[in-house]
Amino acid sequence: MGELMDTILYRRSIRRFDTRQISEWELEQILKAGLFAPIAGGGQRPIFVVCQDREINERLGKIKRANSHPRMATAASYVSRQQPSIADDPNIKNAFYDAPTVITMFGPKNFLFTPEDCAVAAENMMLSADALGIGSCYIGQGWPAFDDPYGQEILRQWDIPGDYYAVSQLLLGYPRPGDSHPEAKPRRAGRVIRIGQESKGR
Amino acid sequence: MNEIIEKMLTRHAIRRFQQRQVDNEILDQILTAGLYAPSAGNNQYSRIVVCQDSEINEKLGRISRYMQFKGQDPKSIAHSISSEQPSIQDDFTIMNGFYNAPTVLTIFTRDGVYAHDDGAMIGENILLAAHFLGLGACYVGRTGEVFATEYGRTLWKAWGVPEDMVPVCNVLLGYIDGPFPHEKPRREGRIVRV
Repeated sequence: MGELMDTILYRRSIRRFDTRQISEWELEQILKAGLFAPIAGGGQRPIFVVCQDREINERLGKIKRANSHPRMATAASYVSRQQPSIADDPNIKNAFYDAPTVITMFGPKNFLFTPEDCAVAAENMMLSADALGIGSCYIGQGWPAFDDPYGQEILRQWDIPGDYYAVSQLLLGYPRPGDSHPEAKPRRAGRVIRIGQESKGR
Repeated sequence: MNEIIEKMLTRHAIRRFQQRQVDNEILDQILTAGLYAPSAGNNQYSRIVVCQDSEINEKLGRISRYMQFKGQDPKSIAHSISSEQPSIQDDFTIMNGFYNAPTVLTIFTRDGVYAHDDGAMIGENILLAAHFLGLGACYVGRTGEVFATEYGRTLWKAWGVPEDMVPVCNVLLGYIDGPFPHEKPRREGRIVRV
C-alpha cells in the first residue's frame, strides 16, 4: 500500500513537458493500466487513440483552446502557478501544452456510464505514469478539439465509429528538465462526512 | 513491469462481503486516497459521505436495484457481469444493490460539465486503495437517480451536503467473503495507435 499511497499523494497535473517522447515500454504499461480500470457492467466499450504525431496534436490542441472559454485566473483564484493552464496564461495557444503523447478517449454516445468509464481509466493511467516518473494532465471535454473541419477530417482518418464521441484527453510526457515537482496544494477541510455507528468527526 | 501497475491489474469488483466493519485506520487511508484524486481546476468541491448505518445502506441499496430494472422483468434486460461475484444482473434474488456491504460511500461533486469526471476519479482512487489494503470494493452508478427519490433527498439534506452538488457514485467497501475473483479477458482493438 505504501507505494500506491505515495503515488496518489505525489501525483500532480503536469503541463510543462520535455520534448523527448516517452518510451514504448512505459507507454505500454500505462495503457495496460487503463484497460484494467473498472468498466460499467464489464462492457469494455471505450477506445483510446494514442497520437504521437506532433503536428496533429498541436493542431487539435489549438482547436481545443479556441473552443474553450475558461474563467481566467485572478490573483486569488488560479489553477497552478508552477504548471500554468490555459486559464492561468492567456498566451498558451495549445490546450494540449505540446505534450508529446496525447491519448483521446472515445466512448459510445448513448451510454450512461461513458464519462465515468473514461475517467477511471484516465486515473489509472495518471497514477501509472506518475509511478514511472512521467507527467500527465487530464483534459476534460474532449470533443471541442474536433469541432472544426480539420478535427472532423482527423476523426475520419482515425476511423472513429459514428456513435462514439471524444470524451476527454490524457496528456503524457516527461516533465520539463529543471522544473521542480509542483507543490501539494492544501486539501480543503470538511469533505468527509461520517454517518452510522462508527460516527465521529473528521 | 512496475510493481504498482502490476498490482493495479489485479483489482476486481467485489460484491461478497464479510459483515465485520472496516477498520477505522484503514478506512482513513482509503478516504485520504479519495481526497487526493484530481479535480477540475483543483476545485476540491466534493463530499464523501461514509455511511455505516446498515438500515440506511440497505434501503439505498434496494432503491439502487430498483433504478437498474425500474419495474421491468430483470430476465428481459439483464446481462451477465460476474459469476464469481454476482451482481443484481446475475442473480435476480439479490434485492440489495449494495450487497450488504458494511460501509457505503456516496460521492458528491460540484455541478457542471466535470462532475462525473471528478466523482469517478475519487471512486477509482478509493477502489485502488481498498485493493492495496486487502479490502474488497465495488463502484455503483445510478446514484443520481437514487438520490432524486424522496428518501434520497431526505438523507442528502440530513447529511448536510450542499444542495447544489451532484451525487455521482457509490463505492461499497468491506472485507472479502470467499475466494478472490479471476481476471476477465480484455476486448481486443481498444487501443488505436496513430
